[in-house]
Amino acid sequence: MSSPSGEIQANPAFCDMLGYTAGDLRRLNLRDITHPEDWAETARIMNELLAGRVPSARSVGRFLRKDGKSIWADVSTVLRRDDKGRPLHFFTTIYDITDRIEAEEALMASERRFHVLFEAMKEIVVLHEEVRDAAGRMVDYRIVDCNRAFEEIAGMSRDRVRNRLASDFYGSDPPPYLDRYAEVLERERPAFFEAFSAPMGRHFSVSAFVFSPGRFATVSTDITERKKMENRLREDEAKYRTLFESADDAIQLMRGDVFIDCNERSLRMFGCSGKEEFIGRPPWEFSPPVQPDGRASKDKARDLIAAAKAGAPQRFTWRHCRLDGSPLEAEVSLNSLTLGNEVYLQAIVRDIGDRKTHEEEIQRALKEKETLIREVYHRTKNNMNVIGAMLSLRARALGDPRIADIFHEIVDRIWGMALVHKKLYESGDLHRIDLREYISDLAGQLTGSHKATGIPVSVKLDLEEIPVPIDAAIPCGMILNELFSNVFKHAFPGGGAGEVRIRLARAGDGAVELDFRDNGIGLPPGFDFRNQTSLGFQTLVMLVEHQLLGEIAFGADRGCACRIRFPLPRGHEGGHE
Amino acid sequence: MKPGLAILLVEDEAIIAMDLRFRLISAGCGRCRVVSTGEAAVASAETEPFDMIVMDNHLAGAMDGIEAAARIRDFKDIPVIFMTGYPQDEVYLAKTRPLRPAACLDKPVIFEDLIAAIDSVAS
Repeated sequence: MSSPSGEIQANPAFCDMLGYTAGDLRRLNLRDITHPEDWAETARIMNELLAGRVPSARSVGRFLRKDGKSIWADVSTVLRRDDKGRPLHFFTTIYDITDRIEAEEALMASERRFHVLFEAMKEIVVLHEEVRDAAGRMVDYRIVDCNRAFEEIAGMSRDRVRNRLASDFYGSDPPPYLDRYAEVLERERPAFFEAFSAPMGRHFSVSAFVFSPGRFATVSTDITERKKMENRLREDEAKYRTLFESADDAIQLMRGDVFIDCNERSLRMFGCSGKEEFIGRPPWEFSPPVQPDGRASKDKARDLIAAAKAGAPQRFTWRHCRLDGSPLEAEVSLNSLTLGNEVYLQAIVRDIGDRKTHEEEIQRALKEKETLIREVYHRTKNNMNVIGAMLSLRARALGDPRIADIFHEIVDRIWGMALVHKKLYESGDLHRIDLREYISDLAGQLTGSHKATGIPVSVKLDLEEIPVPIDAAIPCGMILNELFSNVFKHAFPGGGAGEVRIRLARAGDGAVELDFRDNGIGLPPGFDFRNQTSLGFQTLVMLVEHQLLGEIAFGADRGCACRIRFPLPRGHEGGHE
Repeated sequence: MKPGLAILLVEDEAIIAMDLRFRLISAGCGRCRVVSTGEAAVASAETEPFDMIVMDNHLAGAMDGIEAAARIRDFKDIPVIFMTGYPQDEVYLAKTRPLRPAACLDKPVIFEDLIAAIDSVAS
């Protein structure tokens, strides 16, 4: 009880509620134990009651305990008046409802939290209510509520969504997934499925569950991107599968020592009618027992596999055999690849049977060409010899020794040229001859053919091996002809034992140096080779300077010395090969 | 050259054969029969006496010089001087060796070398 001015009288229960003694309370005013925020309301209620506008009042308010904490109370108050209607005191019944209020607050806080979550979720949440026909069959469902994610994707506010029938909202009768949702409601078991919304053009992963009788929620996740990725992966897979299958090389995958996958080409190459004939077998079961190098196929294959697995890609030729045992020449490359935690080997096998045949054909054609070239050189040489013989015959038939000498000289030159062709068809490379051998043979030929002159000339050679092309060899031969001819005609007018020294060497700059020296009478005093009327000298100078682009010099130190120096054509400077 | 020798010259190139024959006669050869095939050489060797044969290996007919020499060797022991354009050829050498030729000359034959070979056979 409290007086209109606030004095308090209370029962022990109220004293316990606030932790005061009855004496404490008698000394306090109502305002002292009322929560300051609630005093205005308390004062208003008291005034209403005092004014007689209401007979009683009920409110929820807080009281302050002695220890400073506040309690919630359900407060019912009536104003007692005396018989003249004057206020006596307020009679107040108080129930401590602190626990209830706190529980409500906690619930509200929890609801608020879930609502925030509901709104903030990226997932689309829609709450539905079943719609049944008279027979109790579910025929539709109504949208009860939805979250912001749904508003966004639907492009409309929830006011325009709520309470609409799904058949109307989605424009389809029956509405989407009606049977599925009916089952969810009936069995009270959640369902998970993927759905494609044609109007939205998006894929969703949906979970549906019952949240109260006759009501169910759907939580949908937009998985359009994931779907696209999956489709891309599937396309890629198909693309690579096509590459794998349409490759002209056999491609195989091995784990350990055995094949675990292969393409179509592998089956055709190895003469298998199906993968089961190929897969699960090691490569040496498709090889002869021994490889061409004499090693056992099994040992060699294992070594190569081990090396590839160790990370060194292997490329080698291999003799395989088909299922029927027929041989298969192949070029194989082995690479290791890691998928997951497993090491696999990828083998690419190329049938090189055709290539081998082709290479052999080229070799044969090359050999044939070489034979033909040799034959042409040989015929050329023969023809030159025939021309030589013809001239000899004619010269003798004329019976004039002077004309015979001229013919003889020409025959020597023809033979010199024929010798180049002979050397060419005898040489290994058909394009060049060794100048050392040529000079040596030619010197023998020329001294032989001049034996008739009665001057025994010995030839001393100091020759270096120099390979030269035909273009250099022919003029060299003619030059030696001129020089020898000079020796036999002029060097030893009184006969006697003559000596010719020929030196052939390579200069530092790659040029060829040819020294030709005799021990004859030497050159006349004041000899100027450029002012010679003899055809022989003119020919000599022309051959050296004009044809070989070289230099020629004469010296006369006990006999005649001629030094010739000429460069080799481009591509031949290297000399020995 | 020892005068009056009878020589069978087997050479299919007409001009070369003519030239060689001319030279041999000029050098004192008594009789020089020239044939161009191995078959003719065998026939001549059968019917006529010769002091020696100068044989080109490459001949016009089916029979080459080596085969002709081998055939002749079967019925007559006449020294043979071979002439060839392929003196280094292993096959050629392997074939001529068993015939124990008196000489093997390189073509074109230097006439003086031929005379020297003939002289060594004749002595």
